Amino acid sequence: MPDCARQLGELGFLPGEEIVILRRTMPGSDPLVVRIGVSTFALRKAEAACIDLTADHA
Amino acid sequence: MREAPVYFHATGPLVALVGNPNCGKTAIFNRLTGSRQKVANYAGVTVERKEGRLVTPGHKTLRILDLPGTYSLYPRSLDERVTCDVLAGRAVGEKQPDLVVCVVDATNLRRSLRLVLGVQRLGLPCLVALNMSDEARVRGIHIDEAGLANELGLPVVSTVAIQAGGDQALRDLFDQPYIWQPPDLSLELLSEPIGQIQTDHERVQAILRKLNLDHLTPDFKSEKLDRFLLHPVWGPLSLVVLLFLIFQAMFSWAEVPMDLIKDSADWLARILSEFLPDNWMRSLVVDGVVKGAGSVIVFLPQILILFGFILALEESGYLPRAAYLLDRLMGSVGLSGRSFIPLLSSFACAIPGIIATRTIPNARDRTVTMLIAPLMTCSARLPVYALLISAFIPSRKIFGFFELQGLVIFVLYFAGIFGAMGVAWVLKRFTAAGRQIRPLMMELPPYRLPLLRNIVIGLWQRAGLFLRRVGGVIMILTLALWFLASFPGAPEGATGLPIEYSVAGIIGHALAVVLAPIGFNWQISIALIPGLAAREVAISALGTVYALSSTENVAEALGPMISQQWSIPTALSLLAWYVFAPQCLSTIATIRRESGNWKLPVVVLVYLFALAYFASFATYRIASAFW
Repeated sequence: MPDCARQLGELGFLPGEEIVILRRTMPGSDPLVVRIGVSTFALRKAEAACIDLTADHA
Repeated sequence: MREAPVYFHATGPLVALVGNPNCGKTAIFNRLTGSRQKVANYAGVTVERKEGRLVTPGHKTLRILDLPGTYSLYPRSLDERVTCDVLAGRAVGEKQPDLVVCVVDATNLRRSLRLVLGVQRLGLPCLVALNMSDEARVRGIHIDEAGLANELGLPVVSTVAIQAGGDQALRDLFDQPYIWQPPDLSLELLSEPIGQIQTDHERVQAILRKLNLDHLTPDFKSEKLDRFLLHPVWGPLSLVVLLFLIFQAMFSWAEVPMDLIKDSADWLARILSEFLPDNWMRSLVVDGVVKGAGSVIVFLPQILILFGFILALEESGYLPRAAYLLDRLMGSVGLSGRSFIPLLSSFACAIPGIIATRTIPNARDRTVTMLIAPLMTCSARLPVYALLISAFIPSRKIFGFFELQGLVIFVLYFAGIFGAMGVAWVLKRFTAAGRQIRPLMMELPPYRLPLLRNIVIGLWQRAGLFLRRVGGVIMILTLALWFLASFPGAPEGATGLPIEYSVAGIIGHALAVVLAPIGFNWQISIALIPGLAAREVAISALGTVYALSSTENVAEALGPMISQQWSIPTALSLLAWYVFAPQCLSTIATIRRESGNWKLPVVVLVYLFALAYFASFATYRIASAFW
């Protein structure tokens, strides 16, 4: 998905933002529920794969 | 000669409302314009265009345009494209706005301000409405209006769309001459869009830091509700219970108004037949216009009840969550959770369902949803099911528990749903576009209490849209089918019924040859032709073919008659036919309108008839082995 990263950016998935994975309701965690900033989004696994994360245990 | 489009613009400056989805933009629009709204489509695209009027305290008349919600000025869907085109002055037949009001969710500045920066760069006069400012205060977010205005270089005003008078500050601001001045563009324009997001993002972060708003205050109430409503077990379970209650309400609450509409149509028909001379004109007015329109309007109560629930769920923020819960199921047949709402609407009537596909961003998903929407069991099928089931299925309990007749209805509903899933699966499996992975990226907005006012305005608009369709296309079709069933009249000394000599009768007799293998007699074949107007019209058409006088209750008199004359396999075959057959040309006409070409409606017509023929053939042959 070439547009994926770009579209995620438009929604607010941008470098330096904090992401919380809230929920894995569905078997296989697809789609996921994540929080970016104060917005909550449902993302399919393939979309979520476009996002680079570093763990923050604080 | 080619027609050149001529556009009339009402006088008064044009104010466009722009904002992220779920920022309360439409609530602000409703607050500003009240019931003075006009709903139409943008030229050439099926995106809803809402315009309203506002008279400011200083007696200035403004036209307010509610643009579709968007996350950015790089469109993903048809809706978002319209917003971008209108703002850029590229939209056909639209004037570039004189002023843009960026409606901003005060609880989510981080995201909303990026759109503001994008809009500001377009060079139009622009101001910021900090909406939901009350909720922000409750959550401990204190925004320094003047500071924000200073940082952005734009006027900023606080609004509370859900409160009467919560838009007063905005109304007052419209009278200030300075807000109508184009901004002075000293910002550097970057052409590289990815870099643009990044720099905008950094600027927003800098502004938030400066105003001391750089802390995250998520909505913990929604979070708590989601713990239950999106729970792996309780989530899907509560969705099923909710859907069950909605359907229950749709059928039980609609009963009284539906009877009322039916009775008034019958009453009007009776009065008119008394006063008009007995000729073809009377038949046209009574059988064509009054009964034709009545047979469609009768579904309005159910549609409104269903839409009332859908609007309330949409306002409350639950609907995207339902779509999320269903995404895996829909994904397994190549659709996304977003197809859920149009398909749900189609259980009342496929026409509003097909109109609702506009919210699906992906063109392929939208097409597939329109393709399968007619397979959902709409309420027009129910009178036909009820007639056949009461005449042929014995009323008894099986396993001492299930009512057999009810069980058959249940099977018919599921036959439609499985048929639709099957078609979608085949399209996923055997088309190139079907195998691609498509994005979901759906926001789950915070839960909010739905506002009655917004639901009422929404319902009013949907009812108008539906009735306009009835008024136009459906009327023409009903009249055309009446014409086919009435002309030419019976010759002198004819022994058969008048309808047998009409065009419909001639076609019906020819059709009977084709339909004989699936067990239909010539009476059914003829009735199917006027029945193309709307499914339940087939009942009155059968009444005509069996020479029942129109004064008695056709459905009641018809039951015993057909149970004697038809075999059980024929009845079951007709039930199967009604699950799949496109016995509703209004639906086809709506698909034509919404898809913008003739290809899709023709495909729907052909594949549904083929499917119906196959299903009826199988049903008839299998049933014939038993009875």
